[in-house]
Amino acid sequence: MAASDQKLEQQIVALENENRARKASYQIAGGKVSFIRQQSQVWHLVGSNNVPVGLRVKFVPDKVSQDGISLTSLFSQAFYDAALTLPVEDTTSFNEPQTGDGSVVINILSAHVTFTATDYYYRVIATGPSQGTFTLL
Amino acid sequence: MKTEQWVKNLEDEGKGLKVAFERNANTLLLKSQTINYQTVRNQTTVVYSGGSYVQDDAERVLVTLNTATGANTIAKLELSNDNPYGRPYVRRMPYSGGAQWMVTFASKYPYAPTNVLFRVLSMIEGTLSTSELSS
Repeated sequence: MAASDQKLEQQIVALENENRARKASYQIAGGKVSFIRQQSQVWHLVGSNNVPVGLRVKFVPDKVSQDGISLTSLFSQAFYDAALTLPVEDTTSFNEPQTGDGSVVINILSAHVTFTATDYYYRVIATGPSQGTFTLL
Repeated sequence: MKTEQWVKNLEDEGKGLKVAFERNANTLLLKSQTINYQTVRNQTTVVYSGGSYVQDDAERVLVTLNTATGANTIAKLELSNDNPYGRPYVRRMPYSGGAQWMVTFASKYPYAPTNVLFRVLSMIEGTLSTSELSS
């Protein structure tokens, strides 16, 4: 067999293998999408007068899809101490409907059922297809 | 078929597969749907030794996305409401055939229903519906 034929044959085998591998993993392509987990800075709030403590944090991804809607999910973490070791149990959060400008907003609320002033420390986690920046609204 | 043609075909197929496979997550299609909901008063009777009284309990709603194909989907629930002190709890439920969430609102005081806008982002198209849950 000529050297060029052998080379061509090798090329064919390599291409076939590559296509076969891609077809096999295509079914789980969703699992191969890289999702980035990003942590925000910490915000300090003081609760008082029996009023729930609330804040809204905006996340702007660096890369936005054409329609401006992002699959990014935001999660909240709330603590009583700056070392972030004592979690605030009665805290809820939800993602607000996106407006299409690429940003995602999380709304966080903690119950503050005392008239004593208390420190609260919040951090937001973003998981999504892109990195971005956090801003306190 | 000529060997060169065969190689070319394979290369074209490979290129096509690559484009579809290695696309960025930002370009994945998302279907979005919205639905408005008003909570239903959920009163419970509390009985104690001296009598009983009626109180407004938390209001729960199930938000369900039934996908057209019946497949489960990667989906995200977003919401806004006019009950700032209600502290809604959102929990994704085990559900076959799409996606489902249970959302709990504390009732307003003095009593008024809470108006909610739900928005679901999903990778698969479907029908969005709500149903109330009482105690």
